[in-house]
Amino acid sequence: MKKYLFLLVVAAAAFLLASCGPPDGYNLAKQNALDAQAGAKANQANELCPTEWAAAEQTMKQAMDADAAKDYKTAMPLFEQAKNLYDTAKLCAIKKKEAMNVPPPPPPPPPPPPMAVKASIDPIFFDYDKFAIRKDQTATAKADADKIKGQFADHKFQLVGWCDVRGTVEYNLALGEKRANAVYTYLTANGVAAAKLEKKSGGVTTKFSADKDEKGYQLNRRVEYVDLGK
Amino acid sequence: MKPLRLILLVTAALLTIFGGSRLLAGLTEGTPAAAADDDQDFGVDIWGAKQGLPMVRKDPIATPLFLNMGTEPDKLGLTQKLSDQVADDMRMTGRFEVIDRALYVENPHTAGIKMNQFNFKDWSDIGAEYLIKGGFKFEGETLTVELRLFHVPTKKMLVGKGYTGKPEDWYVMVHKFGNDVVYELTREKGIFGTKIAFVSAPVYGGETQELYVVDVDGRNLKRLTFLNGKAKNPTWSPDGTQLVFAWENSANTTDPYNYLYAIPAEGGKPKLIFGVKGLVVTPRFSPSGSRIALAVSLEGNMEIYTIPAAGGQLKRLTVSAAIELFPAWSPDGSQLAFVSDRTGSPQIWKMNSDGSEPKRVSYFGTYNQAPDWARSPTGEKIVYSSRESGGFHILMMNADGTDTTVITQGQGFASCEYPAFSPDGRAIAMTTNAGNGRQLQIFNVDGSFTKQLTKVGADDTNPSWSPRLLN
Repeated sequence: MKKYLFLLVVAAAAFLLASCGPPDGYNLAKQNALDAQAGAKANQANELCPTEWAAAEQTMKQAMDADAAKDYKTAMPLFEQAKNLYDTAKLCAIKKKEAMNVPPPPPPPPPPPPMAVKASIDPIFFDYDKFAIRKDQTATAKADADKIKGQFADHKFQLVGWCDVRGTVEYNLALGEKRANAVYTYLTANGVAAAKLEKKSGGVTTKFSADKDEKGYQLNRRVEYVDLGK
Repeated sequence: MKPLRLILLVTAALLTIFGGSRLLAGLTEGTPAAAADDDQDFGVDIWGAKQGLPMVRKDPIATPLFLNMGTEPDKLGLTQKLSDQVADDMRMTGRFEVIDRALYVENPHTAGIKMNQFNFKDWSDIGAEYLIKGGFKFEGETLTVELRLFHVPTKKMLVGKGYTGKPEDWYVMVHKFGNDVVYELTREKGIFGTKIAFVSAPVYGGETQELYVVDVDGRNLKRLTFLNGKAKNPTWSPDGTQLVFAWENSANTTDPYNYLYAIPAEGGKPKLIFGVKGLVVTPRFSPSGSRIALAVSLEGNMEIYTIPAAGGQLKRLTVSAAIELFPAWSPDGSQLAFVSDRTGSPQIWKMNSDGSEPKRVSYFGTYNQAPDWARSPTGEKIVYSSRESGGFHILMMNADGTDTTVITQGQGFASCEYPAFSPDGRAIAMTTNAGNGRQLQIFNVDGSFTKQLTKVGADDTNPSWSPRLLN
């Protein structure tokens, strides 16, 4: 008999506890309100639309007070309301910013030209233990050739062939050389003057990624362009 | 769950018992052919290649403490050190099992070290088949050591030797005796007193890599180069007096040249053999010492060449669009093994030393590197490293490509590479990686002995085993 009584007490306590917790969707509503608050602030709503911001803040405060008092029933609709008010404030701020930008701000004065502009040319990536230029790399290689002939026509480049760390240093030195050769051959076939290019094997490297997975290895299997200047 | 576990346990137990008895059969019969058949059975379901060589039966040997025969005190603690070194050397031969000193019954204070000064029964009682007894005496700055090998069942002395020298060379005397013991028992010269040359970088991929040598017993580690670049792939001259190595000027990334240097094995000034606009790696002295085979890229692709050891004209041996490197001479100098990827993956090939008749020899593994070729007690062997998903393992095959055997697998190393045969073809020095840098390690090919030669921390690679330097 005592056992049943005990079970009953436990069940009742569980029911009470359950009824005290926040209702379904409560945490989401609260989080949405907090996110909306952050979003509005990021758009400077507190400075650009102070009225809308203050309204949202007031509602949010009420919601948080209710939340602290575990009065979830009151807090939940207040959070929902606060979210809408923050969104309104954010929209208001965005519109004001756009309006202010109608006469676009004058561009900053161009920085003084550096001593030497380092050309940035996209690397060519390779498959494991391969040196042939992959089909998906030919567009990059073509664009590289065009840049070297056009924008950077007065620069010289060193092509450095790199390999991932799998395998021996010696074999990968030979492989890196063949990768540099492959890009050299492609560029010269596409109109780049041979005199503008030097080749070098870098061999194994982890300098583009230290990750020991295929993604990391792929980043290291490349031919890199080193701008040697004019 | 429970029945499944039971089945697994029973299966494992059956495998162990069945496998163990088969292995034991190979051991007691001791014939290579019978053991090889057993290995082939294992190979299919467990390793995919044959695992290890049959272990030779080990003879129990006793190595009691040495006797101070002189009047001067034992200022270097040689009573124990000499005995310990004898035990270590006998272990390294792979033919002896050293009986624990705690089991010895002989009274070391009353027994002598010469025939009739001790009782063979004291040794046959503890199961010793062989016994090495020794004594020493200091006379000022001179040390004399006497060593004797006895065969216990026949009560015969097989080797008796005396050595005199500087006290600090006490271990050299033991190594010399070790060589005499090996010769007496096998009519083959021992390898005690040999050295390993290798290169070491502070970390993997470090910008500087220098040349070092170390004795095979781990003593006398010595740095030879201070060139502030990358020394690579040292090779011993067959007379053991010099080392040749490739060198990259890594401090200057725009230097398009690579170099070949020679340096006295005892240390000294490096001498430039040649420099070339292109890559230079993997030089290897011919067995006669007259030429060096190496890989050079003169036209943007590595090929194998030879050059006179003193420098001179390069002679091209390979002509192919593929990568070719890692030449390794056959023991008679008539052929070279090398790595070529002309079939699409790097494999071991061989050719005549004039470059004719290239022929693929490795058919196991998809990424094979760094061959070495030696005459072993069971014929000419080529050892190489083969890369699998996790790292390299060492494989060994007959020089004709048959009978591929796994030498390292399951010894706890993530990777084992750059194998280099000992002069007797019984052991291999290699670079091992247990997760923290790479170290040098020695393995007997039959798995009977291993020893780590360099400390954990640095990146030690490219070992090259010297020719015999003592006796």
